[in-house]
Amino acid sequence: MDNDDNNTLRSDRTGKISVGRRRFIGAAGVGAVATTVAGCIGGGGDEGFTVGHLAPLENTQGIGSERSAELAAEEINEEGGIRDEDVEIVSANTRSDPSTAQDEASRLINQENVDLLVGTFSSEVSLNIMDMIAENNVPYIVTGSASPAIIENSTGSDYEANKNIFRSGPINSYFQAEAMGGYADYLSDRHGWNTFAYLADDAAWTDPFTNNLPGELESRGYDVVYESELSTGIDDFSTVMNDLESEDPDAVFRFFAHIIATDMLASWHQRQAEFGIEGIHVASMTPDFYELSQETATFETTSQSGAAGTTDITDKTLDFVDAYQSFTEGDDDAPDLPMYMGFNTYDAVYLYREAVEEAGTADYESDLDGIVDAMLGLEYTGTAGEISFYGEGDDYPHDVQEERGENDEITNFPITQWRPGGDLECVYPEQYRTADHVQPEWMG
Amino acid sequence: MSERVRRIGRLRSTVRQTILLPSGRAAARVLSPIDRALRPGANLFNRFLGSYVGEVTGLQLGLLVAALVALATVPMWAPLFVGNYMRTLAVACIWAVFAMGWDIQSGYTGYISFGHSALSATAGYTTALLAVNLSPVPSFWVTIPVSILAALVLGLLIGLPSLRLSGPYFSLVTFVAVLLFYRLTIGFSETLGGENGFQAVEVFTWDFTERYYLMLVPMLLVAAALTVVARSNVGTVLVAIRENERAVSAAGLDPTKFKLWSFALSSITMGIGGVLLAHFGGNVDPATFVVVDRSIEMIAMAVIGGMSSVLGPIGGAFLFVLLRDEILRLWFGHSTRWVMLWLLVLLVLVFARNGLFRWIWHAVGAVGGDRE
Repeated sequence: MDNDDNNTLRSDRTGKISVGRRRFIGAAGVGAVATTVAGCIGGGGDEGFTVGHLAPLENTQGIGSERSAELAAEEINEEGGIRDEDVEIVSANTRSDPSTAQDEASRLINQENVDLLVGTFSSEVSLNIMDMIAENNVPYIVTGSASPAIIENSTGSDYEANKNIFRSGPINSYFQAEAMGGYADYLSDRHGWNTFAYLADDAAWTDPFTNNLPGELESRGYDVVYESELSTGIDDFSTVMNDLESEDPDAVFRFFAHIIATDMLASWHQRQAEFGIEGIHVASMTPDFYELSQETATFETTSQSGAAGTTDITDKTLDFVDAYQSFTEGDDDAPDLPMYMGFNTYDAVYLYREAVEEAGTADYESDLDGIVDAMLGLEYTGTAGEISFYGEGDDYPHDVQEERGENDEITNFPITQWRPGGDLECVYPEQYRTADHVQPEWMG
Repeated sequence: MSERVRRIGRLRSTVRQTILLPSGRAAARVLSPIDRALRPGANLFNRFLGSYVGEVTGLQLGLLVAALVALATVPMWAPLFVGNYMRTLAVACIWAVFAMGWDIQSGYTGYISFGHSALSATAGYTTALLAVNLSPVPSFWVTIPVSILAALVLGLLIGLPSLRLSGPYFSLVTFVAVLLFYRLTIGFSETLGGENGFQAVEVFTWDFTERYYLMLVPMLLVAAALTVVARSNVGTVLVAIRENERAVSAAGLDPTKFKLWSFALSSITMGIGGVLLAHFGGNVDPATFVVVDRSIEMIAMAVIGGMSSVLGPIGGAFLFVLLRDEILRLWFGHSTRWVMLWLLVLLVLVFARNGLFRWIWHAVGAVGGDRE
């Protein structure tokens, strides 16, 4: 920008200084711009069943989720639609930015007259748009973000005002923290790992881990030797790696959704640091992450809904992965797998169909209660597990229920590990295990 | 090269002779009866308000009233368009406050600030920090004045040492201030929320109509207040500082004092805008408030509308936000629209340097002829 412009301006503020009348054409020019707005006249139709999909579309989670929603719509339409109406997916890009997400969500509601909203990856986005969505009563199923605050701040604090909000998966990060405790038991049994370190994104979704996981691990008899929250803008892991090496844990549980920790992995391999890297690393769920990380993802694990299609969690899991892969064939933007969010979004569209068919209406404006009751009555077998929702009196109303195994351990929280050569194995929980966890080859 | 320049010059004068002048004359002929019809109203306006806010012609008054009516009736016509106009126009109101806030300081005194987003961010972050750290959260009546005061304090902190500087140094100081603010939010992410900021601020309302008016009314009040200041002797001194600071000193006035006043006034305005933006969406994060892009956008709005004019920045802000969030978005998609938008800003800078809305205002004022 040219500062000098400032000096060339005249101080003709009073409007009395001569301006050639010919200049009037300028007004006409601007008028022409204004009339272009007229081209936008029209309105969204009420035909069909419109699903608004909200996700960051520069992120493989968002794209996988979007394609999975499209796939669900195509399949449902082949079967006759939702209550005889064709399903249409209208996709909006939130860019993981709360302001953009708010704009896009209000467009979907006001302009597209959506019948259902699904998606939202970042918890900050979900937290920021849910009040507006609650105000408008549009059923909204969160399929990507895991912060328990999404439920605590909505149905958990004012049930009546927020009852259109549901979360179909993954289990919220409060339960995830507990599930990680069970996973630590497994690591201890398998490798004798008893000291752990804790790292997390400094973001809303990791708060329950930060608050609960160290205590959870200690209550199970393990030592937690290091705890740190990292700025999501971190670009240098050397301090963290030095700290970890000096504290010498057997494994570090790290929870990264915003941080893409390829540098950390590279340093881990290069130094042959004597600890495992476990927990959640959203970037590592991308099928080509192994190559992107130049194979340094080898031995790291991450939890992800659907276990990246490595195993048949339900009888729908692998069929869905196959259908997804043929649906996205030739689509260079789409990840090779639906991603955890894709599993959850696909399930959300289907389970909502089941609910409105049970309720006998998809008209949330006149019978939201009927739809909510039907949602709460569901026991739906999805691609990522059995889905049922907590009810009004529970701690997390309308949140997806965790599944528990024989010893009360949480099971709908599968963990995958990258193996040398780029294979992915499901290592936890036991019933979905395709291979046992291996420690880095330089350890032990 | 010079042949080409001559050819372009010839083309331009042909266009002017055969298209612009006749159509300008035709438009003026059509509009002058309207101007005459509105003149009694204008005379009344000038008699009672002219000395405070400046005098208007009949047509200018008509334009003002039409714009006000259009703004006041948005909920009636917005649903006719495809788009999210209730939100976009509410956003435009907030940005109009920012553009006016920038303009009353930089536009009038010529001390160009590249860091005004630091001021609005101070207000936004103060509101968010109060909401996050205090329990129970204080009411709006406490947080809003405290936040505006915080913006004023930061404004004075930046203004006191830097307004004595001249040339590019003042601009650089403001520019660095905003970079510093941004890095602080990242560096002290535990306190200042990092990249994700805060989602804790109570939104005024999610009723889109109500929310629009809650943004429109403060914007109009700010506009009225700043117009009165700008048309007063203070405004004249500020412009005189821009035109010739030494002459102001020679006249026995202390330019630094006046620059500080304009900076304080600007900071308060930015504080008001920051509070509105925080309560508009409920999220306070660096991308929404702090990053230097936001500062540049304020400048662009004020400049394309017409610097040092109050009405110019408002028009510029509405044009900018409407183009960005609706018109260009419809045609070019989310990312490419920015390219087109900045190209359009560039065109205005080259061909209508004094600003589109000042141009319109004066062209309208010139209809009828006798006021020239």
